[in-house]
Amino acid sequence: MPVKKSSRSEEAENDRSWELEEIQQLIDLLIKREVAEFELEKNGMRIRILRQASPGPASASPVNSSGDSASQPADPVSAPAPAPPQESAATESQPEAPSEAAHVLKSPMVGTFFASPSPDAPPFVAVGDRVSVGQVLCIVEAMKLMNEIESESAGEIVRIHVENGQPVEYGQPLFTIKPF
Amino acid sequence: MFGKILIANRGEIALRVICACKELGIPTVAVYSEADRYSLHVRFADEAVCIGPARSSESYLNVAAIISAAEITGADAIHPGYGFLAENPKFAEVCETCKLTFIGPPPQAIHLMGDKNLARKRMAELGLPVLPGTGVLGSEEEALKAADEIGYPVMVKASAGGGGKGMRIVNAAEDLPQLLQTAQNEAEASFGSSDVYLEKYIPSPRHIEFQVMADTHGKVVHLGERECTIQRRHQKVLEEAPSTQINAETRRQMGCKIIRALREVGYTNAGTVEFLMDGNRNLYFLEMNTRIQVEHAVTEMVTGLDLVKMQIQVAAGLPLPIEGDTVGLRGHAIECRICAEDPETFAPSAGKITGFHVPGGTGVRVDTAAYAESIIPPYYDSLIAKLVVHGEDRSEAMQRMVRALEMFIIEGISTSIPMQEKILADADFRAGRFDTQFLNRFSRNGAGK
Repeated sequence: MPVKKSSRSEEAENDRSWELEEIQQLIDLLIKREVAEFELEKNGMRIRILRQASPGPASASPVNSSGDSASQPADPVSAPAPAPPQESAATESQPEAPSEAAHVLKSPMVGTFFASPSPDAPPFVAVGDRVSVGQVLCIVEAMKLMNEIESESAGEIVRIHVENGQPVEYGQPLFTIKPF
Repeated sequence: MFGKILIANRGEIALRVICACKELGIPTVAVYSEADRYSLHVRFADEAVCIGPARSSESYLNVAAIISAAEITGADAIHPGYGFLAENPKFAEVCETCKLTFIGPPPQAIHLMGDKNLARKRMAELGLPVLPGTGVLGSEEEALKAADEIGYPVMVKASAGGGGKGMRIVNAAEDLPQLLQTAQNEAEASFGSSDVYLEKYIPSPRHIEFQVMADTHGKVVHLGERECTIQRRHQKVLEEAPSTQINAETRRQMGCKIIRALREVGYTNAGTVEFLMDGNRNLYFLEMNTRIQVEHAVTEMVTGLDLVKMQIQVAAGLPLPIEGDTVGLRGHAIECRICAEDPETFAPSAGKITGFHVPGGTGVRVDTAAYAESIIPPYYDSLIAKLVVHGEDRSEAMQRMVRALEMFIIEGISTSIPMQEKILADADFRAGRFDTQFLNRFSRNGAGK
């Protein structure tokens, strides 16, 4: 079954919600094509699949909290899955460029993500920047304390997953870094 | 009323709080560890925030993460459930500082009752009967002298303790120095304080506790007692209300004393006052739990009240809608704690539940966060479900429990259902003849009577 890139018109036409089989086939395809990271929204449900750096089966990770709407888990490979929430987030549909060892930096704490050291300062990093281990990439503010989050790898920022001011939970992906 | 409540807990009690919030029309926030991603409390809350990895210390006991979660979701109150941070006075204080309402008693009441020796002393001053005992022991000589006066056997107890830890039974003077030392070491290791005191030891007591509720306008009520004598290693296994050993007059008198004492202390919200009962039906104050308890459902069944809703309403400043000291009790209720454990060894049994069907019908209530295909994680306690029944009298309640246990299907893991069935079939249990040693008869060493 072909993987569809969703567009707004396709979403409007297509009334089906996710079938377990459909998701399993999606995962199989991503493994075959060695896609490291994939996100797709369809029919009000967003699915995000992250493949670990070492060769192995893709692991499906649940829909992330965007802070202002329900963060309900949707594990596609165990049955019966809880019903998916109504996501109001914008569609993101580009499959990621495959990278064997792309590293995802996840938030080590609950708080609010800030891209810059202060409101009027430029962001710490941008997509395309090269960063080193220990370099401060962002701030997660919790209980009025500004926690500097450091990079765990040396490489290039290929993706910033969250927006400035967005609430983040423990384990939420913040940056994808492609190691040199 | 609160705009949004964050539940700082997991499992069945988190669901229980969500139930009350839904019925009160209050939006909820669930917090969860990575091990609980597919839990029902996460599913049924309006919002959910992952606060840490599986380890409790990094998730459900992680004060910063929980407060952060309240901040980013805009919650204005936190319900701590039971266990975890429910009786942590520092957490209650942090909530206050962060302008979050802690749904429970004030920090100083939590602190008072958390110090077992101080609580005992204070409650004695306020008119509750206590076992003969001492204050915090200053020396071995003091201990020996006091034990002599009290009369052996005595129990060495940790002041900062609870739940059966940091306790040693001493039968004779020659054993005291050694056991005193051991208890102090254990207390230091478990609770960070080596303070211990002595209390007269009752070998085969009954365990009776009174449910209380107090509002922020000075009103305190009691909601009757629960019999929680059926225990294994200080863990309750079965509870019932009312107790076969308490008559209306005892209930009224003790209730009165409790209310007076708690009013003096400035107690608010839910709580449970625990007593030991000796062979002559005398009650002695043991300790107070400043939280909603696992077995609160038993009291709900005989009073018709929703205790968790009351907790929320009281915390929001509403007065208790109860005239007088208490409410009427109707019928008899029994709760069986269904745990994931091996029926022979009682070792916890984690794993995946492959088949699940809860009993229903008249007078049956099941509080659970388990479901078919759910995984019982190994990181937390082994309670899977609370099976509670209500009947017109104890006889009907027992009959109903037997029926409900038979019709409760849990497949894929071992549970305590077979053991509960043995309890309900036991002649002594049925006659109301038991003490805290009761379950020994079902252990491998005690030949089944």
